[in-house]
Amino acid sequence: MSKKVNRNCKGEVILNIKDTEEYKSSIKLLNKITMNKEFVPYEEALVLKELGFDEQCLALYDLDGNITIEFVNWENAINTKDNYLISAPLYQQTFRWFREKYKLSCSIELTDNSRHYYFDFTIYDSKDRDWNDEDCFDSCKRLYSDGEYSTYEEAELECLKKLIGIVKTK
Amino acid sequence: MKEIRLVPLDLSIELKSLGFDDPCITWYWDDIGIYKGFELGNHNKNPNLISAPLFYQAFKFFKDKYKLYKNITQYYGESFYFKIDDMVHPRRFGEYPVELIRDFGEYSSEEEAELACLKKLIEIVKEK
Repeated sequence: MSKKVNRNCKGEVILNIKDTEEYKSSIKLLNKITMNKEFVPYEEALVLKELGFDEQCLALYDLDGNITIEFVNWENAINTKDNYLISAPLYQQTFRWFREKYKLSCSIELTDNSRHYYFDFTIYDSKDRDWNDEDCFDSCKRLYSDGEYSTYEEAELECLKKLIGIVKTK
Repeated sequence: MKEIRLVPLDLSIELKSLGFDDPCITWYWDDIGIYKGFELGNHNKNPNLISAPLFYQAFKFFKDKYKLYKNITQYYGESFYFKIDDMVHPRRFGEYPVELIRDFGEYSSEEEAELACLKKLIEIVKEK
């Protein structure tokens, strides 16, 4: 079935931006970046919005979870208070937000058990001191990861989920 | 936009020379400055342009291509420090990954620590 072609009153073909090669190649590259997991996934982005994350982002999700990068100047970058859009923050933005807003910082560590290496993480709560921590008397409260992760990206996502869990239970 | 931090031009040039070729959101043009718009692509393919990576991308590049892993940590909600691990150095039983650098520079911000760490990563790779 042939695709319907839109024409203006002069009979000229009106190209939908989504049909242009520029758009398609941009989406391809965006997907590559997204696949590199630089943006927080949709589910977590949604929860971050509920938690009050409202910083400017490079990209956004629609309600179906599709990611779109906005071709706007930086000064006008997205700050989604709109109910139908969800900011797609970078991981680095999100971790900074937790650190600045909730005093929760994290460290994703490379660990080796001599046979293979894996990643795990520690979350430091600098608001709550843990006076019973034997390692360091005046210590931040430490929360450790539940598992071992074979990639940095897995550990990063789990760390983010844990941060969200901590804030939601506060 | 403080949250979207891009690697400065001088270090972006170094990254290009080390083979960084991931798609970036924008680019530098010689020493004229940065293009203040989004244009997603591998701009390093163009001999006249320099890709402007996010710090996050630059660190991933060192992890994936050179197996150098950085970790930036904040001390007690105050200063920051970084360390760099070598992920491929042969290890014997019970050894930890080889820690190449542990910099207790006590940087007052994550941004300062990131910049110092990136410079150190470039230095390590160039010395190899």
